[in-house]
Amino acid sequence: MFNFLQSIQTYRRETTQAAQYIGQGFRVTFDHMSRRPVTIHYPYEKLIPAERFRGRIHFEFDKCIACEVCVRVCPINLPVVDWEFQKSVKKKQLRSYSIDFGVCIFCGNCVEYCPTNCLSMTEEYELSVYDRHELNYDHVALGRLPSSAADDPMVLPVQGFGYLPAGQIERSETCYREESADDNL
Amino acid sequence: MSSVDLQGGWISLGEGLGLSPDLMYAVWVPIPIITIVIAATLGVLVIVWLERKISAGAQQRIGPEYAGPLGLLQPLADGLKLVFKEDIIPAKADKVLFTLGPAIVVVPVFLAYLVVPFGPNLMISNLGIGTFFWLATSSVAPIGLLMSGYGSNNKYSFLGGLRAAAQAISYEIPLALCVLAVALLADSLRTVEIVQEQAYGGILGWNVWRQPIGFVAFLIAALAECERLPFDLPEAEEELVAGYQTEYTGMKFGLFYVGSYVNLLVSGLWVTILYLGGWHAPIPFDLPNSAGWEVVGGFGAIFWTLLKTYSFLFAAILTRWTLPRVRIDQLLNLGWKFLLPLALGNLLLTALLKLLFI
Repeated sequence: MFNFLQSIQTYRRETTQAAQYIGQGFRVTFDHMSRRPVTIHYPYEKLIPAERFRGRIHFEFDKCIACEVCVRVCPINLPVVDWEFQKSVKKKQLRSYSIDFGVCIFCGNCVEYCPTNCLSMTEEYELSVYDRHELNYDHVALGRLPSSAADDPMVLPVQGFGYLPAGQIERSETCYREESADDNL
Repeated sequence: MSSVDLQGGWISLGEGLGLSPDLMYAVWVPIPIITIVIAATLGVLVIVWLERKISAGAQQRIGPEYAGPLGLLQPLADGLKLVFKEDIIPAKADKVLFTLGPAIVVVPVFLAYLVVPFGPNLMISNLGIGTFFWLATSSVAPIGLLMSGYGSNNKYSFLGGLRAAAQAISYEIPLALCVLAVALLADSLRTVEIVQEQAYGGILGWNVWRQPIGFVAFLIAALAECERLPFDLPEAEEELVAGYQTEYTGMKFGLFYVGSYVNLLVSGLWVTILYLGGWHAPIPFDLPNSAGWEVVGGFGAIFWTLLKTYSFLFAAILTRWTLPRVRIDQLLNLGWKFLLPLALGNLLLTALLKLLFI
């Protein structure tokens, strides 16, 4: 008899608890409805990624000493460094350098370890091409200045969440029209 | 009771033109029916749009935006796409059952509108067995689901069909018991009388306050009956591809689609009729007694009915993004071990109180 009453008690408690949890869940969903959408209308608006975003790798040909550290630290030995030893100056002369972004995982190890800082990460993330071989960037393509969404007059740049002040989780209206700091570069 | 008599007006209009009353009556009969069918279909478009927009809101997305203002024409575009799609019947399917299935699912759902009152005189048929008629027709739909599940000759479809039948049968019972409790209060199965019985005292007179347990049980059972998200096991994507809809394309799939949303709308309307005071405004007020004001009152009645219905739909859509889907055994447990005793107890309690106090 006592067992029976106790099981009823437990059942009742569990039911009210479940109802409470459901109520909590509804509060969360309801609260989300009043928030601003996170959507960025891609071709018309573009995201300005966070400062430490790891986008396409930029390479400066003249700084490179062909040490091949980037190849060694790369998880898949991806950068192709083609050099020739110049006897006259007793130095390695770089002939070409290429990274295949179809294979690159954008881990940034090469940038981290490059002794002369000739590699750097850019904020470029629009790497789609029709043929995957086009993703194999040589030193000319790698040396191109990165283009920022903020510099394109046709698109509305939208700052990523990394730019929000600490504790804020929603973009305010002002975040949608922000000129990039390096406009005059 | 009413000074505006549309049917009488129509027939006398025919007499003025020299047409016989019988002919005018024959022309009159389909008009409300067609109006309701069109209204229900338009209601589906509104629900689809609302569902997409509210879902988007709950997930901090934007939702349909480019088709028409605010994406209002998106459901229309979806429907148009379905019309133009190829209608495939699988080679080894049972062609008759496969084709008959969607129709049998959709027709009973539309039949339920027969007894739904949108105002004191705004209904197609004031049947004496109104609510019972709805319960009876809505239990025809699982047969169609079983047919289409079996006729598809696909294991996922079959499982989905079986699940749909099991779910519909197990939730029909608590649903019927909740309706019975309400019918006890109103002393009638007639929908108009159930609503009229809630007319006194505005929002305080509604059945929600007299039947809180029944209301909750009815909401849950209605969601399950519509196969809405916490209970959408018959078409569980993760396990069953799309359940009984797996093999369907084009307009046959469109029928299921329309059927499920019309069913949702019907459920919302029934929640309104049984528990939320039907066409009555939350705060009662009297309109002047003239023909013009009666027309205004009629539109007001439709407005309140739809407002209450769509707030139920809003809750249903919010539920979709709040609660995780239950497993099939949990679903049946909930139906048989929780809702059935709850609804039965509610019915007994109602009967007891009714015997004691009235």
